[in-house]
Amino acid sequence: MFTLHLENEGRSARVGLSSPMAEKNAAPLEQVTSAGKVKRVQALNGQNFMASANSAQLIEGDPELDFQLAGRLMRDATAVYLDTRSAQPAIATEFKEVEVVYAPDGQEKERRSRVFRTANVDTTQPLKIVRRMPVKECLTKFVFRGMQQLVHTDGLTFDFLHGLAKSLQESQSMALVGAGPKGAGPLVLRDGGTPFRGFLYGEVEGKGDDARYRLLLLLSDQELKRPAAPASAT
Amino acid sequence: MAAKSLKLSVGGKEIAATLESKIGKDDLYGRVDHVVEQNGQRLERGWLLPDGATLRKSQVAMTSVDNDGSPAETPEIHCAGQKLELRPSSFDGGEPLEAVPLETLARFLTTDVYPVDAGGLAPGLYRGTFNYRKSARPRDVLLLVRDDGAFLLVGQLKACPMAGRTVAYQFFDAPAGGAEEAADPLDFSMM
Repeated sequence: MFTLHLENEGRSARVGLSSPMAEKNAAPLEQVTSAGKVKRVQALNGQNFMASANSAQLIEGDPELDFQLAGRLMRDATAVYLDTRSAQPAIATEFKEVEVVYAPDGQEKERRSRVFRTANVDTTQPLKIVRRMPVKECLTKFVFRGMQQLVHTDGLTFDFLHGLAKSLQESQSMALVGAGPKGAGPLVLRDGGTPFRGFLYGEVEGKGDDARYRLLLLLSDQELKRPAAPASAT
Repeated sequence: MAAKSLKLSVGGKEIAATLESKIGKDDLYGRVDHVVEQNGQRLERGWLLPDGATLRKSQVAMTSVDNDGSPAETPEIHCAGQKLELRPSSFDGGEPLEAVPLETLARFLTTDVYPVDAGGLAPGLYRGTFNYRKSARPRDVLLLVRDDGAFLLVGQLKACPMAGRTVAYQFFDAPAGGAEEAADPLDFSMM
């Protein structure tokens, strides 16, 4: 189980994260023929790269197809990077990973070394609640692509999470949580994972020993809006 | 993609809607391509086989096989040993929707977002199912109608049980998913 280190009103706690199941939980689908279950495999498609093939060769035969290789299953293959400038692709051993950033209109904006993001939800520095937003505004303004349910691991963390969920329900708000010293950074759940903006949604019911809560961490990387119309050419 | 017509039915009332092109993160903020370079030359991903042969990425393809190789007949869709019939695409029939509380959005995991022109629908949230193509299991859908437009959210509704003092084991057994200033606008490009 993942854990998350969260700070609220001067107190911090490490709490559990659980991936909620689907409401309609059903057995997986499978494709079946009379010969058995259908599975997906990697196979060679028989393409033959002919750097120097000319039109006459293509008319006379099929040099671009390799019927000996076609259909062969891929087994024990190792992923490599190839320099394809020569007729026989060479395995590259020294290379650098680069990120190319493109604007929505397709224009290249930036080239930089690849950024490797490390998980930041359970570090010594707890995630911080940086602001609260009305529930209606928050739920209808962002696209939530990830979800984790915060769960307690003992009585103390129950009180911590129940109190936070109750406060969110009573104020009809959701809390924006962030990473870093000031809570300004996005959340990264796994090493090398996608950065997300995190929002807490809370509900409570019952009292005393029957008190229960639901505290969800909703992850968003997109606002719910239409793209800006392209600037008209003058 | 050209806009596609969709027949919706809310409380017995039929509403003609138009589904527009899907909106992704790339459409709003741009995209980041990960490339591998050697001396400024872009490299291509490939494979090294045990016999020393190298293959380019385009020489390898995913294919479906059964125990006899390439299937000689159209496969059937089964679930827990039972054959399932394919449900037609939502564009070929009507999709019934029911009004649900706005808070349902908090339990919804969105995979696809489509702007929708659904004139005549009151602002609010509506729930139903959606099949872009015919398939055995349609996906959950929420239609959010705002004052400034409507969006069809396709994805999966999650069950998020309330947590009591005793922590149910299901929470721990569940598979892993898998501002500096308050007034600052949120940076959603995060690139």
